[in-house]
This record gives sequence, structure tokens and C-alpha cells, in this order.
Amino acid sequence: MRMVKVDHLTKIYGHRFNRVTALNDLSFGVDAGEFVGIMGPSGAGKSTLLNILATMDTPTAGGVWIDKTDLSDMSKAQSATFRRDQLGFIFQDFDLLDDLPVSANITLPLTFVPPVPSDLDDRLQKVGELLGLLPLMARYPAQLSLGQRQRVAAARAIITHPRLVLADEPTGSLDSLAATELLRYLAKINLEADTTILMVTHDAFTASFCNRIIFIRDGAYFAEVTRHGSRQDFFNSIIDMQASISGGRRQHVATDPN
Amino acid sequence: MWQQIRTDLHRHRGMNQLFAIVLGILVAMMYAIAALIEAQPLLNQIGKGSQMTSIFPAALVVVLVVMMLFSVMFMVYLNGLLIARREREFQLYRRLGMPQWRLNSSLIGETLISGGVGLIGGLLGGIVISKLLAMVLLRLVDSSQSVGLLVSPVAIAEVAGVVLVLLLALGGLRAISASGRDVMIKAEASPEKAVVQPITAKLVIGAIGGIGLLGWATWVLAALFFWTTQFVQWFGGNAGLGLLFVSWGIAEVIGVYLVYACTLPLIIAMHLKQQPHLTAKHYLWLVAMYKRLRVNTQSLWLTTWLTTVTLVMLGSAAMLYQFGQAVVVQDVAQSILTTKAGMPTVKKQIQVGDVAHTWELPTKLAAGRVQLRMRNHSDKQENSLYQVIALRDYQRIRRHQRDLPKVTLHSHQTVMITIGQTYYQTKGIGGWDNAGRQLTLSRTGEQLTLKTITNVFPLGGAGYFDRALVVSNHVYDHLQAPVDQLTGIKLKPTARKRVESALLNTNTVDYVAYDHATLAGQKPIKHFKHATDTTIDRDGISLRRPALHQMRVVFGFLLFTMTLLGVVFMVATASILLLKQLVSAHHARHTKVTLRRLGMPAKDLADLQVAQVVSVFGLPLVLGSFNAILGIRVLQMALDGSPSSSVIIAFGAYTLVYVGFASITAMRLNQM
Repeated sequence: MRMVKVDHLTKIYGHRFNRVTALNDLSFGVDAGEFVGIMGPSGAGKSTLLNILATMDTPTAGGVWIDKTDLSDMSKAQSATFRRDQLGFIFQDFDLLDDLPVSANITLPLTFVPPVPSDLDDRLQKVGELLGLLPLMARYPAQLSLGQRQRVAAARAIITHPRLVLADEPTGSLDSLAATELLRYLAKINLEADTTILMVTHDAFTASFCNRIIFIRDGAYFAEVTRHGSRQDFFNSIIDMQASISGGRRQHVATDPN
Repeated sequence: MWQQIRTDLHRHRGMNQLFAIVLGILVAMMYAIAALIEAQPLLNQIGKGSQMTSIFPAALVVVLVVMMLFSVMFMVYLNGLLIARREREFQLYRRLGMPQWRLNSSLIGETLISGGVGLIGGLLGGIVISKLLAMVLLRLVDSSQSVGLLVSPVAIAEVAGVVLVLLLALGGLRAISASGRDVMIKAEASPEKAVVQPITAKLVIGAIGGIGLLGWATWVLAALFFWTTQFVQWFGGNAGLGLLFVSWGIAEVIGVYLVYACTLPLIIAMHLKQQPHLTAKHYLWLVAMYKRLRVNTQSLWLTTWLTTVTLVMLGSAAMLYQFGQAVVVQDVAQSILTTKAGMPTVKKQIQVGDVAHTWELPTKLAAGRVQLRMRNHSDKQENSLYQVIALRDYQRIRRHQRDLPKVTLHSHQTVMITIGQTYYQTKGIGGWDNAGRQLTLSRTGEQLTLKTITNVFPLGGAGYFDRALVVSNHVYDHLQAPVDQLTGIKLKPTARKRVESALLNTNTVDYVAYDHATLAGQKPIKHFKHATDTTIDRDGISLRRPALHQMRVVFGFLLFTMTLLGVVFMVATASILLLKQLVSAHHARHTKVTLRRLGMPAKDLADLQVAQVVSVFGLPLVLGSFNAILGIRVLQMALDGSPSSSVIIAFGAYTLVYVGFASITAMRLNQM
């Protein structure tokens, strides 16, 4: 089942004397249950794409469908409801509320609109278990390590059982050990909770935890790499593709050597 | 360096605007008062007829000095708050190698420019409001003189001089504050402890202590006579009263602090514990309030006291203004109140068609004795002279004199009318009354049962030597005593000025014997034409309007000065709250973005913000009003139950302006 459909998406910023094309006729799709990475050099349009997918920005042309819902003609209130019910977010800077304990941070999206679900505690228990957060529930974000904070953000993203989790450079603030740990958890969420994840990253190691990587350059689709074998091989393919992007070679169909 | 100053002025324009506006308002108020002091002819005119020409300028100077001292202290405090927010910026400048002198001079320059704008704006505003203030003053003191803009170079020089010195000092303080910072940038302060603390024994004790102290302080004011009596009994006369006053003050000050620091946080913590599944809006509001109460206890406490002091000042002044007029109205109920001795003089001045209505009130003069229970709960035998009134006459007068309380009597019951009724009866805790006491008319031996005591005399207290008694018609008709006729005259508006000015300088006084034998009923009551050691007197002719004017001059001036100080205090209160709210909103911007990203409904986000503003502004207002009402109640008791509708108007006006400040804050937050 197609979870995300991006169709000839274009986004142009600025006015007529100073236009910047952030996305240029970009098209791709993501199936349910996939763990997809979006890669590309700085300025390629990754963040713009994520903002449009997150209903926090609107396209100039083209369209985006998430689980058959057209995002282009949503009101502000509708997009807030959509974000709340259908999407989960993991940001580079965690975006946790410092004044709330871990448990309240995780359950926050479930309490925006009454009634508060009766299975709140069960859900908290489950995501806590999945992400190894149970001993930390009463702590505050400032009392956690960066890796732990990002796991709290991940737990908050999945507690609503979203159709899609959007992760924006989730390992950007983490050291390699914490990053590896988080990515293992994300892979676990993808497998065990059967959650579709779309992750934007510029780091090949982070990307190697995905099943498929879509490369974009100058706002347009450049290539994609699909994992077939070991993670190390996948990593090598990603590195190769990054080199290709830097070298300027355009390659529409990518193949994993294995 | 100019570039640096311009950049800083622009970057911190919100705070610089606040600084300039607050300074501008204070300057405008100071200028307006200084200009009034300089407007000697105007003050002379206002003081005319009340022999107070020299007191008004002196009182205004005192107000100006108090206002200047307060403004200086407040601006230093505000300056400190504003500069504390820029600590990281100063560290960065110094870390990048900016010379200290350059940073200092740019800070002083910035202060002088933003303060200079406030000073100029304030002086211009002051010139405009000086006219308004003068008009308000003239209206309050019942004068019909016209007035223009008060432009006084002396006042401008005085205020500008003080403010320039203040600005230099504030700039210097900023420089000192910036130079004391560590060059190393510290990491963003992160809370080591949990925001909502676990409920500890210390918190519970503090919470109970806060409620207990405030509760006791309230009880003291609600039952003042009871507690004064207790303290006097325990510790003796003056020591007891002093101790009560001091311990009450301490209980209030600490009580309010503990309520903010412990009681309210405890209530929130308990609520959060009992209700783990609240909606985000509710939960985030409670957490934000908890944090505010713990972090900003001092500013909440300070603003509560500023609110209390402001409301007590405004409320008391308004009550005194109303009291002054009520006293006159109670003293002379109609245009003229005259006795038999004054009547010939009055008749001489009145022409046909001058009078709208006349009321005749026959009274009988009789001595009486009664055992009364006093404030200290001891009984005292009181011998007095009473003017006895028949119930039918009382009720006839009451149809036109609305403030006379309703009276119903059985055959041998009586209602006593006397000034200072609170000496003999008080309602509420520790209260008592003298109902059922036996009053004996000394000369006839007639026994009457006291039903109640009031303080409103028919036709006005000025017509009575001492006290009055309302008795049944039967008792009155059979009472053998000399008749004393009182007459109330209501003049037509066209005749008032002429008749009043003709009667104003007449001096007719009645005297009556007040010696021991007369009061004991051993001698008949005798009138005298001159004062002796054993006589008491009353005015033969009393006029209402000239007395009202006198009262308005005195209490109107008091209300005016208190309102001026009240405005300054209110600006201080509101700007502290506004600033604290903006600072916390600045820190919470990130939270707002996160909540929006996560899909919190925009309306709930806006509601959350409004709820915070309402709580932060509402708490000091509610607690401050509560304290002020108690304080004013004591004054009301001391004034023998003065009317209090003006207090409600004063409170209403304060609340309205206060809500205006809260709305401005909410709008500013919405823009952030």
C-alpha cells in the first residue's frame, strides 16, 4: 500500500526578481512499512520537502498525498488535526518541553484534545518498554543524556500510532554511540510497530539503517538506493552515490552491488 | 560606537520601548504636579474659603517628593530586570574582545537615548495632562474656575534635571552590571531539579502556615474589637495594641509570601498528583503556574503589596471624600436647619417664593440615664441630654430624608440616636449591642427599653445638643418637658446663593444647661444666652451647601493626591508583571513552536496563553483587593460606618485599568 505519494512537487520561494527553487518537479513514493531515507547535499531541498510533508508549508505546484489524504487543500485547523492524528515527529533538537517530566512529554500529543484516552498508561508502558525508557519516566529532559532525550522524542512520535513518522536529522545532535542506539530503536519501531518512517539525513551511516534511500539534488529527484544485503554493503552504496552527487553524475537507477 | 548603540537600540527595541514608556508616564505625572505647585494663583483660588492656601502647595510638594523617590527606586529596579536579560550578550561582546570602555559608553548612550525619548515624551504628555489634572482637581474641590495648559519652565527644569541625573546613574549601573560578567559563556542554565517538586513536609508546613497567618490576619480585621480587647487584656494597654499591630503586619507580610511560595504550589502539586490524565491545555497551564509561583514569588509578593497599598490609598481617599459629604448631609439634611433661636434671623432673609418646602420638628428636652455596655465589654452609667421625638414626626421626616433608618416601636420602646454608635454596638465576631437596656428619663422616672442605636438625626445632627430618642406617640404626648422646635428649610435653587451668603456670617448659638444636677433630673432644663462652664451649645442656623464646599475642598484635594500616587504605583505594578510575563514568554517561545508542530489546536494554544496572563495578573489583584478591603473596613468602622459606594467605584476604576494592562500584555504575547 502506498503511504506517501509525492507528485511533481515544486516549491519556489521569494518574489519575481529573486526566486529560489527549493523543490523542482520532485516525484517519488513510499510504501507502508518502509523505512526510507532522504539524502542530498545542503540546499538540496530536504527540509522544504519535510516541512511540506509535515503540513507546515505548502507547495507552489504539484501535490502530496499521505495515506490517500491530499495535503494541498487543508485549512490550518485541519492540518493541525492531521499532524496530531496521522504524523509523528522526531527533530534534530528533540523539541521536548523542559518543564514536563518524560512521561508527560511522551503522552503530550494524546492529551491535546479531550477526552484523554483511557489506555494512556498502557500505551505509555508499551512505548516505554519498546524504547527502554521505563526507568526514566519521572525525570526531566535536562536530567537525560542527549541520546535518551531523542528516544523520548521517538516515543512521543509513536505513542499516537501515526501512519507516518517523519524524522529530521534525528542523530544530528548525538555522538556516534547514542546515534547507533537510537537508529537501532528506530529500526525496531519500524519492524515491531510496523510504522512507516521517512527520515531526512545527510549522514551515510545514519542512512544505512533504512531500507531505501532517495537522493535529491537541486530540489529534484537524483537517484535511489535500495538495501538488499548487509548494512555495510548498503553503507558503501550510499557513499558511492554521495560521491556521484558531488561529482555531478546523474544516475536515475541505482543498483546495490549485492 | 554610534553604530553599536543603534544596533542595540534596534535589537532590544521592545525593552527600550517599555523603559521609555514607563519613564514617560512617571515624568508626565511628576511634571504635572511640579507645574501645579508653580501655578500659585490657581492654588490660592482653590484654597480660598477654606483657609488652606498654604497647605495645598506644601502637600503637593510632599506628594512630588514621594513620587520622585518611588520613581527613582522603581526605575533602578526595572533597569536591573532589563539588564539581567542581556547577560549573555555582554559576555559575548567581551569574549570577542570589545573594550570595556566601549561597551560602557554604548550602554550609557543607549540609556540616555531611550530615557531621553521617555523624558521628552513625558514632558510633552505632562503639559497636556497638567490641564486635565488641574480640571479634575478643580472639579473635585467644587470650583468653577477655568484653566489652560500649565507650561512652567521651572517645573520642566526641575523634572528634567532629576531625570537626567537618574538616567546617567542608570547607565552607570548598566555598565557596572556588564563589566562584572564572566568572560566565559556558561551553558544555558538547565534546571537541576524537577519543575514540579515532590510534596515535602516543608512545603506542607509552609502552605498551612501561609493560610494560617493570612487567616488570622483576616480574623483580626474582621473582629478588631475582639482582638484589641484580647491583646489589651493579655499584654496591657499600649503594649497590647502595639503588639497586635506589629504581629498583624508580620502575619500579613509573611502570610502572603507563603501563600505564593507554598500554599498555591502545594494545591497545584496535589491536583496534578490526583489527576494524572489532564488535557494538555490544563496540564501545561498548571505546570506553568507552578513554575511561575516558585520562580517569581518575590515579584508576585511585591505586586500584591503595591496593589494593596494603591487600593487602600484610592479606596480610603474615595471613602473619605464621600464621608465628608455624608457627614455634612447627616449634619444638615436640607438647605437650612434652624432652631427657635435662629428662626427670626432666617425669616428676615427669606422672601416670598424662596422656599420649596419647610419641615417642622417638635422635640422635647429631657435628661436621661442608662447603663450601657462599652467596647471593652464593661458597663458604664451614662447621663445625657436627649431631644425626644415622637414616632409620627420621625416617620413624617423620614419620607423626605431617605437615609433615616426605618423605626418601629412598641409602647415603651425607644431608639437612641447618637454620634459614634460603634462605641455601643458592633455586628459580627466579637460584636455586641445594648438592646434591651433600660433608659430612665430622670425627671419623670419614665422607663424606656432601648431597641437599637442609630446615628442619623431627623433634619440633621446640627440641630441637636447631644443625643435624641425616638419614642412612641403616647410616651411623647405624656412627657412633661420643655419643647424645642427645629425647622428644616429647602430653598429653591434661584434663592440659594442670595439667602446662603446673607446667612453665612450670622452667628446664632443656643446654650443649654449640662450640669450634674440637670442631667440627674434634680433641676429643670434651662436655656442660656451665653456660654458658661456647665452649658453645651449648638448652632442656631446651619447651612448645608457652604459646609459641603468646605468638605469637598479638603477631601477632594486628598482624593486628588492619592489618585496621583495611585497611578504611579499602578504603572509600577503593571510594568513589573508585563515585563515578567514577556521574559517568561520569550523563554517559552520554543515550547510554543513545539506544541504547534505537534498539532495542538491553535485555539487551545491561545487559551493557554490567555489563562497564564489572567492568572499572573489576577493573583496579585485578588489577594491585593482582599487585603485592601479588610484595611478599608477598619477605616469604615473608625468612621462610624461611612458609606462605601465610592470605594467600589475606586476599585472598579483600578481593576479596569489593570485589565487594560493585562490585555496589552496578552496582545504582545500573541505577537511573539
